[in-house]
Amino acid sequence: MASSTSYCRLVAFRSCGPLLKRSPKDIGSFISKRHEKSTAVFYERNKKGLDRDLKKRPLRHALKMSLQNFGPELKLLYQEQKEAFTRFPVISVDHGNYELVYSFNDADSVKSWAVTADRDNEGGKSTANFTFSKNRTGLFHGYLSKEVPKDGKTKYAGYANITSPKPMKSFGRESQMDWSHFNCLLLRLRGDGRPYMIVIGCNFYYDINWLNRWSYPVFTRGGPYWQHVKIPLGKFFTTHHGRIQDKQEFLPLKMINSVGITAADSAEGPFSLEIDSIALMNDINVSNKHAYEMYENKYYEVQC
Amino acid sequence: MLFRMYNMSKTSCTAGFWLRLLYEQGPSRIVLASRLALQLTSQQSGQRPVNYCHRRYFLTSERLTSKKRYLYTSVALQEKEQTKHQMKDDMPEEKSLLKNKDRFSGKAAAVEKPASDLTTTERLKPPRPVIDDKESSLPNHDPGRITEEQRRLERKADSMFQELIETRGASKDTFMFAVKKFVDRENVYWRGAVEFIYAGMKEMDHFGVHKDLDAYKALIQAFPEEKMIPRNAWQVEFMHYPRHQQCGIDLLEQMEHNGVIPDDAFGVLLKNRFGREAHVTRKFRRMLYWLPKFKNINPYPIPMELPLDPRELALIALRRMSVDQETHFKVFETVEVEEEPEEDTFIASAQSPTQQRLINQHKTEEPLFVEGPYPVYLRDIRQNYFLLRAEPNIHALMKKKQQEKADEDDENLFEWKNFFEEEQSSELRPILSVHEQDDSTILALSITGTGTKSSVMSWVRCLEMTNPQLARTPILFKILTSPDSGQLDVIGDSRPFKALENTSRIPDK
Repeated sequence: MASSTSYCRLVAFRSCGPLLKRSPKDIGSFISKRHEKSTAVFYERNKKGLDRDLKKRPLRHALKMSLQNFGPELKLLYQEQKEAFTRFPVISVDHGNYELVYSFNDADSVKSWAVTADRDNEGGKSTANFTFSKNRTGLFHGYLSKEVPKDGKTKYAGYANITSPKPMKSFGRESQMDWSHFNCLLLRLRGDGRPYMIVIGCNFYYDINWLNRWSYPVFTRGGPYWQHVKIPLGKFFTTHHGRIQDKQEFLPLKMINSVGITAADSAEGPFSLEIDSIALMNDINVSNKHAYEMYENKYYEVQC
Repeated sequence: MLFRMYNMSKTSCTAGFWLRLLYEQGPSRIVLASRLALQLTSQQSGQRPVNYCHRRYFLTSERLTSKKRYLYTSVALQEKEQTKHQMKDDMPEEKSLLKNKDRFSGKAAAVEKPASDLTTTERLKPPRPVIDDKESSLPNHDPGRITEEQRRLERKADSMFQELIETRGASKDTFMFAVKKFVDRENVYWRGAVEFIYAGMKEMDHFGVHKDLDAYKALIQAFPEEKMIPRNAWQVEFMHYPRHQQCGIDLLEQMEHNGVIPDDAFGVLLKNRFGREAHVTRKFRRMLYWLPKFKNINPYPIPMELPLDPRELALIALRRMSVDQETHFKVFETVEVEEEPEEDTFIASAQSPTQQRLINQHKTEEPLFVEGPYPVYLRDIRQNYFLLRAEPNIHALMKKKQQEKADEDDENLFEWKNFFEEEQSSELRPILSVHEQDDSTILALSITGTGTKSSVMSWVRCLEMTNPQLARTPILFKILTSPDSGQLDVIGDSRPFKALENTSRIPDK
């Protein structure tokens, strides 16, 4: 598993900046272009599903950063190669074995996650924050506001999300995680009674798949007690651009690259979710099958 | 895989619809559109105004005579009348409230005050939406795209609702009557059906029927039958009668947002109007597939209809929060408990025998903490709770940790060397109770009516009745001024335990 800290260091290498570092001017152009997209077009401009081009850093910046980071990156490449030769391959995982994917033990691992709320895109007035708490956990908190902006088009508002950094290899190459030895996701968290959504993204090559996500809700009971949540990976359902799909597919376990948590129920008010860790586990009592049956459509219509 | 078509249109359910449904039988008020979904919902294709094309009527395969049309309408109205009567018989409001009361009095055996005495108040209805010159109930708020004719029809529908509210009051009956009146009036050309439905959708909250399937069924009947059924694949895929279909889709989406699951009868109504393959009907099919699948997945269920009484709400929230199955729930009234009450409110308290034992074992020189208010949600109803806690029991936590380590290293865990060897029951007893966490030991939970400091102090006095040790222990109150003020922080502090976690030293008791 790629450690989350490696991403922080490499942010500068990516062609696009972090999501939150967008200037107000950019947001304006994004808003004005947002409505122009037709739903019938499959072309995606970028992996974020935005209708505008992401801001490109000037060439000299890229040159400067690459020169600066050449040494450390080379070192990293050497370590990767060495590890590839020396690492004992994982053939199978026993019942009950687990592996921590994300744990929020230190401030850096919390900081590396991207936080978004609908306020950032001028799609509402919600705010969100992901902070390192005194319990050595990540605290996802903020305020969900249902107030719909008066742009005349937005119908519903109230959304906040945190997303993990993408695993990266040396020289700023995007990587992916292999979860195929496990069959359920484990979370240790403490919430406020709201439901939250786990959103898993994958590293797809073709643009038509870029906005595919696999989601499943996680329910909190509220109160001061910690919860251990176990979600079978087969239960994650396919969504594209936030819409659930008729043709469901099993989560592609070998190409996972992000995990996110969304707070977006309709309850207006402050929300808080304390997350200790996210892990993977192999449980032989959990079915490895996809939880949703798939019917063939016998009618002559586009099956979406 | 590469060339599959993704459904990004509004006809598929948003990924967030699970939040709208509360996984139990029936509707919830949890609504969400994920950001992506939000972008999509905001991308409604620019709808051109569609004139009601009379030509269509003559092109239908079966020409309807005015008599036949009259028959269709009267049948539909008879059905509606029937549903109205059924509704009257089945669910008078007082009855349903009583049912609630009975249910709660049965469950909450520990409630000190009999639940039947609890007064219930009506939840306030949201105000009626005002449509002024700038705003419109029509989805496309771009004024350039709304024609004068649409505006006129919209105002007509709006004034009809206004008139009926004034004469009959905003109720389900009035809503049904409004639809009936529209159908009676427009049963020839069905002019203004789209505008009427959009106006009706906007009124639903005020009429209190936004979670009522009957109301949606009535509203969809404002569309004419047969006229809009596509007759070939091209018409199907190119959105036959786009404005009407979009209106139907928006209606279904509103149902989705309010957690109303359509039934088969609703599908029949849709199929009679739009045909089996139209986009609206497809959305209906998707909803019928997915929504019932997700309605029961919440492991911590919330009642379908939340009670109006804050005491009952507080009890539901406390039950949901309490992990310990032995927890006793009590409702105190400050006027009854206190000799000189500062305010007239209630205190719902939750404490288990284990927690009482923990208080008894607590050293009197070490302080206990009362913290809060922390928000807790039942769907969209927010309450604030307080907790009584102690510092974490690091001695016990470390002992547990070491035992776990020893168990991991123990290779003979599943090997019984001596068949006659007896197992000591004390070995099996868990070292820690569920209340002893690494950040704090939780000793009691409460929700008070006002959430003020004085009510919390009365709660502690109530707890002293069952926990005499409390009177001798210093208690520190850590009351946040408001959970909205950004002071919200995590509960407890696990730093002392985590500092020792990886050492082998066990601190003294």
